Amino acid sequence: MSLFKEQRGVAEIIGFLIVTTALFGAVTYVLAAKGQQAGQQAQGLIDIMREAEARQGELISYAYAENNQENVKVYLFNYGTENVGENARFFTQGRENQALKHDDNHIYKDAATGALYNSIPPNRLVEIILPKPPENEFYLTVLTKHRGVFSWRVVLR
Amino acid sequence: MKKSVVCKDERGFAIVAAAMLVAISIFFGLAAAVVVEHSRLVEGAARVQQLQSVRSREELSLRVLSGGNVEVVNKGSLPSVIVDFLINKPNGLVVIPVENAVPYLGAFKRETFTITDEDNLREFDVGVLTQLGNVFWRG
Repeated sequence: MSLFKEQRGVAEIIGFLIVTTALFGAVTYVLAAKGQQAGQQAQGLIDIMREAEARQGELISYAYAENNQENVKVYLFNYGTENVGENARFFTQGRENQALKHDDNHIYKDAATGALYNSIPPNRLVEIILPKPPENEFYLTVLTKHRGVFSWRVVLR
Repeated sequence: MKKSVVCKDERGFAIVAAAMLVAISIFFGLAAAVVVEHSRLVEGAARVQQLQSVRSREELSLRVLSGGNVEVVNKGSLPSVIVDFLINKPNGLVVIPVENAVPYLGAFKRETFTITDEDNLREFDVGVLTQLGNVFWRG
């Protein structure tokens, strides 16, 4: 009878150790593998949301376009609160065009003051010069650094 | 022997409980960070949506008067802020900022702005640019 009791005690200890080891192993695995994975996923989500937040803060409007001989001068206005348009890409009728630089670095020129910018400051109307497409009516698309897409129908007079 | 088993029992459970608590804390922290970012995004989206809604309801009309004066009428139900006047001249667009003037125009109000000394303003297209990025030309 006593021998049975002792055997049951040992079995209980062994059983407990197995359960504890399994639980601890599972928790350690979750912490080590899934924790890191969850951290990466959370960081990825946060990055996507921050990018979306930056993108939704980009607010530019088309004001006017002027027909020159070989180029078209387009006036854009930033009605948001953040600078917009750094490293922006410009497309006319779906074809990418490089904006002409006003000096070595700047493609934006303040329409009122003539100041040169790398991006469009808030509340400023700027001009950019693009190669003139063959048609006098075309779609101008601007793709910003934060992947914001703006598209306007431009009619040259 | 029995006392020792109880102690081991408690220590083992304590270790597991602590590890689980740490794991829960880490996951809770990650979830909280994501929720905070998400709420900021939603708040920003609501703000932008509101701005776009106001923008679409803005409506101004212009009338060119003599002596380089332009009368602006706010036909919309919300106040407008005028940023620039635009004059489309043959040699290019002339932009006249109104930083020194009173650019605020209340709903259903009219205001006269002197934008130039030139008296031949009626010969050109004249426009007004608002803070919400709308351009209204003389009709």
